[in-house]
Amino acid sequence: MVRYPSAVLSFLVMSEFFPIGILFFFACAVAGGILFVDSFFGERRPNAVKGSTYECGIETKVDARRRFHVRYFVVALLFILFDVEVALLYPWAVLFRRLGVEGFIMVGIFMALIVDGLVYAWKKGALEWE
Amino acid sequence: MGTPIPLPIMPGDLTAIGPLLAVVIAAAGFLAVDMAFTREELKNRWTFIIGIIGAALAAVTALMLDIGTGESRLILGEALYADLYTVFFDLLFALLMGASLVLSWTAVERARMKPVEFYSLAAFSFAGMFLTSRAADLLSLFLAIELLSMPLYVLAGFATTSKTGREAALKYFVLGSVASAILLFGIALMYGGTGSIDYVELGAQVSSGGRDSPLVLAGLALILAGLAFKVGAVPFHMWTPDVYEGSPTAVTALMATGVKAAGLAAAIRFLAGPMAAALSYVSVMLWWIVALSMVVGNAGAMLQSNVKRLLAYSSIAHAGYILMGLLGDSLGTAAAVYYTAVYVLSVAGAFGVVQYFGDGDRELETVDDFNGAAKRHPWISLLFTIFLLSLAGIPPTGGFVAKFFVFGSAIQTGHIGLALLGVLTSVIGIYYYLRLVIAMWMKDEGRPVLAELSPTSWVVLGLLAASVLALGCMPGWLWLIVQSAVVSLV
Repeated sequence: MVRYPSAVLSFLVMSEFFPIGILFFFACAVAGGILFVDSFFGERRPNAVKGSTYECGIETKVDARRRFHVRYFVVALLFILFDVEVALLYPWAVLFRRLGVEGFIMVGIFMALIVDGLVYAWKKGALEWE
Repeated sequence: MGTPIPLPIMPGDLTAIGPLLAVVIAAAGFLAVDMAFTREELKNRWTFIIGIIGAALAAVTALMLDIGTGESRLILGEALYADLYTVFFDLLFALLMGASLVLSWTAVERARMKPVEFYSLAAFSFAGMFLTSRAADLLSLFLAIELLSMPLYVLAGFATTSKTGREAALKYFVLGSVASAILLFGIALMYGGTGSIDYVELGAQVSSGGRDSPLVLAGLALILAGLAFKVGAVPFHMWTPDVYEGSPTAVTALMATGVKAAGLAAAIRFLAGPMAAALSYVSVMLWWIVALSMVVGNAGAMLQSNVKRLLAYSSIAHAGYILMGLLGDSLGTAAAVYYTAVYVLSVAGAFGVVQYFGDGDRELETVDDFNGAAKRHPWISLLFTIFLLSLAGIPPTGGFVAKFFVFGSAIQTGHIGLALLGVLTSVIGIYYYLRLVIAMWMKDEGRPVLAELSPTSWVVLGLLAASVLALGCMPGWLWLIVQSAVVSLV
């Protein structure tokens, strides 16, 4: 085995993360390089419209730091809940037959807990928009 | 259709996580109660019944575990442990859950929180606590700590009318998330360096040349930092005073007892369990955490006039004393576990008393508010005095014996300087705990008002005080249990 002078160096070269390091280096080099070249050769003609803030081409109307209604957050929370649920159900669906009755019962318990939460949210009026 | 895949569930595994199932079912039961009834009295009555049944079931299922010859057993696909250590902490958390139901009820209603919602969130947090002592790999550890923290972020700001509560919730959430990120980053580095998340496997890798791997060292340091945040040890303690002061008292009681004990349960399993070889790599870091926690915690508490802030700083100091046990040998680890139990019982009692002082919307907050309390309410003041003396470490209370064990093991393993520092800072501790005692017994002015104490609260407070005294007068039996629990760790 080759002895590298330091543990850090040996780790850098030997580990399976080395290709990721190369990728990281080139990503930085390309992005940084383009910005660098652009700052030398690029033309600059600023005006008021160009310099204004925009998002997805839509003109700004109000300050970004305005308050959002709490219902957006409730919907976002519920969305994440069911998003994660589906992500966890998918592998089970693929292996449905092989996991057998035991797997079915386990997923049933998991679903029951989540449905309990959904019914609770529903009862509390989290799904009412107006 | 391929061959059937057996689930990694052995017979007996479900009994081994019985306490966990009991509190999760109780938490779901609280939600069902909230949906099923419309009248407040009915909701409250069923919340109390379900909570007590849940806590009792957790205790009973913990005792039903077959610990065999005392060796650790890995359950559920080697993700969790089942041994005497988990039984010990299960009983502690089940007791805390029962005590919180009885003692915090008045404070919950005073802060305009709905008991059913409060205890549902608290039960989910307790589920996380029951997991921390069991974690057998880094992902279980992370899951346990997140499950424990998430409901508490909400609970800290649950009294929506309180401005300080909102501030506390935001601070706790932001800083807690950063701590979780640090912990997770440490876990990632450990995995990157060793290719494993399993404590046993990690322990083997670390003891054979872990020092050569910068990833393992950095990972260990980051994991220790994340855990130190959760137990509120210096220099990761900044959130403690503000969050303890701002949160509703019922939530503060939960943080000071359950969260602290759970964080310590995880830290002790992590540092003194199969990973014990790793401890020598981070012992310098741990030494400084212990020394700074004792000094900053006690010096900070001395300057406080608010009782919740005072107890917050004192909890920082106690985290230092408990972690000191980990620097010693297996006796030191046992001392740390013993100290944790005594600390939890004393603080649960102290906060139990604090929650009853005050009437209407007002709570008693400053030390001066307690002036002359003993003249009007002698018995409750006597109980409060017992809990405070135990925290100060004065015989014949459990706090003295716990400090004796911890300092003794530190001296035996050569940490004489640290033990001296511990004794010196304990003297500062006596000063600020006695300030409260003097205010209650020797000052005249002030008229502290006590909320109505139910007979059950008297019973629970009395039992807590009796156990604190019993742990001071007859420490032998628990000391033996703790020692065999610690033996099963490795």
